[in-house]
Amino acid sequence: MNISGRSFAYPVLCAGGSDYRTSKFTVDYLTSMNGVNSIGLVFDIKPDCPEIERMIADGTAEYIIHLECPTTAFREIVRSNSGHIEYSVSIHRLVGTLEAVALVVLKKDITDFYCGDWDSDYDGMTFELSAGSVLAYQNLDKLRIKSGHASFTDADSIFTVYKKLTDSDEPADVSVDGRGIRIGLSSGDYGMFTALSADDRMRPVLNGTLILPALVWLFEELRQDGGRERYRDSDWYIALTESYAKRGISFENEVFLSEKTSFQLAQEAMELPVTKALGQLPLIMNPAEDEE
Amino acid sequence: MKLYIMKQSAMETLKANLTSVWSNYYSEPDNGWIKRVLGEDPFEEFREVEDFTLADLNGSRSAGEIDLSNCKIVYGKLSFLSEAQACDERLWAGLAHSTFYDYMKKRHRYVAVATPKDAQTEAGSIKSRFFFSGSGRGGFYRNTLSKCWWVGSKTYNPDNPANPFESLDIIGANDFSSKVNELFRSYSFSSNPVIMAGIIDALRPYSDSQNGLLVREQLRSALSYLNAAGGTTVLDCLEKGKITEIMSYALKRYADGE
Repeated sequence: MNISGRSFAYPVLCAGGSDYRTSKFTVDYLTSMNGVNSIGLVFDIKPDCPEIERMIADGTAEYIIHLECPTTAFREIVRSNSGHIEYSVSIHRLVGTLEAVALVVLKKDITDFYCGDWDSDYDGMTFELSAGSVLAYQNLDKLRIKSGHASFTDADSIFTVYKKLTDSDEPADVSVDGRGIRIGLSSGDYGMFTALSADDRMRPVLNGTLILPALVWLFEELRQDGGRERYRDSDWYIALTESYAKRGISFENEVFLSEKTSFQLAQEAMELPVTKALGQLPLIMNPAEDEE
Repeated sequence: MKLYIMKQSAMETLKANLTSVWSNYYSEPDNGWIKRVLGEDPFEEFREVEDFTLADLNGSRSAGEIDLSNCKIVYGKLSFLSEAQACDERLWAGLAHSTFYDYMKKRHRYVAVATPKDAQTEAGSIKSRFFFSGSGRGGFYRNTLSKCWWVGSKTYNPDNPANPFESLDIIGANDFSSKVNELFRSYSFSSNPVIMAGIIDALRPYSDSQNGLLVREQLRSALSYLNAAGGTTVLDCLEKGKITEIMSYALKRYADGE
């Protein structure tokens, strides 16, 4: 759950909101792995509004952390009277993204809700609110989780090559969705691909022939309007981001801010596949050199 | 009994070519055609479990009664799966095309004497029954087998040892597929176990053995009303009893034809 575009009929304290003049709702959110099977979440919430803090202190309101993973239908809330909240989630309950929202929510119905820090639009007004009403909120950064934790095998890749059942040679297809990038080969090509891919020496050549152009296409797709928003929660996007981070490079900066062409980016991502493919060809054509 | 997942490449090949291969689901007596079409073994062994069978298809039970029974069986036997594993399409595509292929054929009457519809329609049906059609909840609440696991998972109550699937019995078999769609797939708030428990409590007076429930006119409208209530409050923050109160009011209101 993310709260966006929702209109409230009463003042709500939130980032970017203008209902309160000076009060701020700040949330520090830290995540870390607890061993290998769970993720530790730590929240430090500061409403910075005496009226709201008083309502929490006297039990009229409480802090809530709303957690949701849309892929696995995981959805829970954590209640607390303290602004410091620690929580742990099993990694086996999550795939893709974990969305988190910090809120202050009423525990009981109230009348005459008033705060001296409200914008002048609310001068002289009070509100009658029911339990469950939101007094303050902040959407937090999504935590992105690779589905590798759920894998049944270790052979997962962001690329999948599949066979198009065709009677004749046809151009290869490439497509992408949340899980990965798919390359479709006509029946004859697929047969050749599976035969060649069994030979380790052919891998660099196949990568240069198939994966490189698909990756160029992918970077072009990402750079389209809305591409980042469309794909940033995808497994492959997360995998590429982590792969770049291991090399000390920001994937998003490279794709969206650098002047590099998609062809250049794809070659860097694959660590010079053209060089590797060309370098492999003499060894394939003359195996004796390989042995020496 | 061995459980198999489908290799990613095999799954992509089948899904991408369903409009070409759909007739095999009708004409071929077993799943041998898949290996012939793909040119490779499409499965990988996942693990071995104690043998079990799904609900009997030969009796006079309705589709809803069969599906409801299978929710109990599939979740009961595969409760060791994590949510992360249970939302993996390869698992359910693998089971539907291997261990339970014969069952899937019988359940959906993929038999040689049937009269199929056009290729697009057949491909669409096979995709949603044997694979995932759509992502997340949209996919796993439609696949014949994963739907059972997920509905079982969301209704199983270990604190009720006498009948841990009581919630399923309250939902009832009549128009079961439509109820699953409305209760579990249409609204993300139903993923919250407290909200779901509150909704189920509100459904008690409408169980199949009592007044019954009108899915479209009553349940759908009541859930829409509950969703609208979430526009002013955060439903997840409400106590179970409050959810039941809102839902009971709405169910009665729409039952009265308002």
